Amino acid sequence: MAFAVQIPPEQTTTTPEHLSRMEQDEDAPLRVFKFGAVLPRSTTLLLGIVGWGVLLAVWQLLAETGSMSSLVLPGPAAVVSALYRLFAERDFIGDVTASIVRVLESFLAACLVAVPLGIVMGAFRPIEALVNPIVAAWRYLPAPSFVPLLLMWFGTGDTQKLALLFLGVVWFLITLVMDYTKAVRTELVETALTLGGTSRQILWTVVVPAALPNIFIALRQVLAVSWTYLVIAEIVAATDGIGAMMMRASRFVRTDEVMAGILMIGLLGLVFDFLFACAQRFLFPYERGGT
Amino acid sequence: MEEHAMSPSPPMPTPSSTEPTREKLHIVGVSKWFTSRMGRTTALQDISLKIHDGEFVVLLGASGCGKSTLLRMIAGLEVPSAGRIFAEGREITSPGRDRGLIFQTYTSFPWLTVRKNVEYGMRLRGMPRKERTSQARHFIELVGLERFMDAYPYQLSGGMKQRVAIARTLANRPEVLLMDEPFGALDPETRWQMHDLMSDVMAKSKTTVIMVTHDVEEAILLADRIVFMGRNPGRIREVIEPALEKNAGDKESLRTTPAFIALERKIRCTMRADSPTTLQ
Ligand SMILES: Nc1ncnc2c1ncn2[C@@H]1O[C@H](COP(=O)(O)OP(=O)(O)OP(=O)(O)O)[C@@H](O)[C@H]1O
Ligand SMILES: [Mg+2]
Repeated sequence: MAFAVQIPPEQTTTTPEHLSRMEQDEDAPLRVFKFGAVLPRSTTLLLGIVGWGVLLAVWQLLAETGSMSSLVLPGPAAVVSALYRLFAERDFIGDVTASIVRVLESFLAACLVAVPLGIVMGAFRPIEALVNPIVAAWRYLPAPSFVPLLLMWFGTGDTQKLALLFLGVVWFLITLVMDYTKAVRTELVETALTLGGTSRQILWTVVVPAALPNIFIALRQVLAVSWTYLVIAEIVAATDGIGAMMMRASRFVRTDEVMAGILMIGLLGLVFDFLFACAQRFLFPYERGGT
Repeated sequence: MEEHAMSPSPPMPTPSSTEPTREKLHIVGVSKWFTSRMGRTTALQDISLKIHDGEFVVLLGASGCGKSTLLRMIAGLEVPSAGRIFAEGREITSPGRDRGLIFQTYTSFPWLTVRKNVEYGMRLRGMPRKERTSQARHFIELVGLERFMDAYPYQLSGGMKQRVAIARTLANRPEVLLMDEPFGALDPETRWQMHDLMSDVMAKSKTTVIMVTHDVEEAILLADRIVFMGRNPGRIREVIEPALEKNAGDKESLRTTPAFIALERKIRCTMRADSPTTLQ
């Protein structure tokens, strides 16, 4: 009876016709400039590896040919081993944990403010008219310019860093959530109205679920922005965190450790992005087939 | 969009008393215009119509003559620029459960399965789960989607999505059913099934129906009254009552009766008479 659901969507498309088309594609020479081409998973993976491989090879080559001193530009191998040493000998895990906690705490706070606010702003015009001028102005103020102020208000402790991370993302998040909420198709809301829904019911049963997949995408993007503010937050009077470690290392001209810190942030960003992608697939299974 | 100034409006074919009655629906001198940067578009001009309880009214007319706008105003989604609409004597000011609208575009909720989509209106009303489920199943079977009960809309074809919308609206048991080209995306066989379904629903639940279609045959087969609309500005040109013996025999033999053929011919001629203005 429910056969259409028990088959995962990937498989529903593998009718014989689709299969043969995919095989054709794999045999055919890779056509780069073709719109809407289907790329087999293996090719996608391979291309990703090739991209990274080339980048690392050029980097290693630059470091080895000695056109730049290894003090200034250590090779990828040196950076990886520095990262290993940081974990093994210098208790780097403590710094990493501190950074993760900071990013997550501030991000969660930003979500708690921005998601509800953005949704009501997007759903109800008077609230948008009231709040949006404020948000629009704040969005253009660079968060780092608040550092001196935050230092005076909150001192050098954790609160100041969390506040900076919070300010760095919250305005963008409000705007994105508002825009995605406004983009909910009016026909869906009108359908609910003709079925007898009240404003409150429609907000919860139509507007929120319709906007949620896109809001989730916004969260994913903004979390990445949050990581970019981390270093700025942690180089100011920080004793722990990835950024603080990098500042210490730069004082001793340990370029390899500075770059290891960057690598670590990049890796963490990837991990969080991956987790987000998994959550997305789990939470919104109906989004996979498009509309 | 200045045309409304030049076309002489034909004599009103409908009785237009301005007093609201206890009629199921009473449209009294309704006009609707939209103002935008490009100027004012008159979508509908001075529409008056009475629709009786349990009547099946079909709106027929060229694209852009304001059929959707009229339905939206009856549904309460749009406010008339002039004139008023009454439902059983009460003026329509907002949407309500008593008037269900099936949209011209797909409106199934993508995050709900077919079953949950159909249950939606009943859930809003706080109907107990058990009753809801059995009602939903009943209407899903009516539109022939029982195999797709737990599928999401993206797994359905266009016509199937439209049938979900039909089931969802029927399950909410509106007193007035407003349908905006509901069967346009369906193949002929499914379309015929839907016609039978509509006749069935009408017979059982005494629902009043206003349906928009471009299909003359469909109009004749289903309608108690066909309201033929013209455009620039949108107005009622003619009201036709296809007094056919609908229950006599099957649809195919009905199609070949002289009465049916004469009616179809009459409507097609009216449509042709309307087209010169549309080509400007
Ligand atoms: N929201 C709107 N703003 C401005 N003009 C509108 C709006 N809605 C409808 N119109 C105009 O009103 C007129 C009637 O539109 P409507 O959608 O009611 O036509 P229709 O009879 O349903 O056409 P179709 O058969 O193509 O669906 C059109 O000229 C259209 O441009
Ligand atoms: Mg229309």
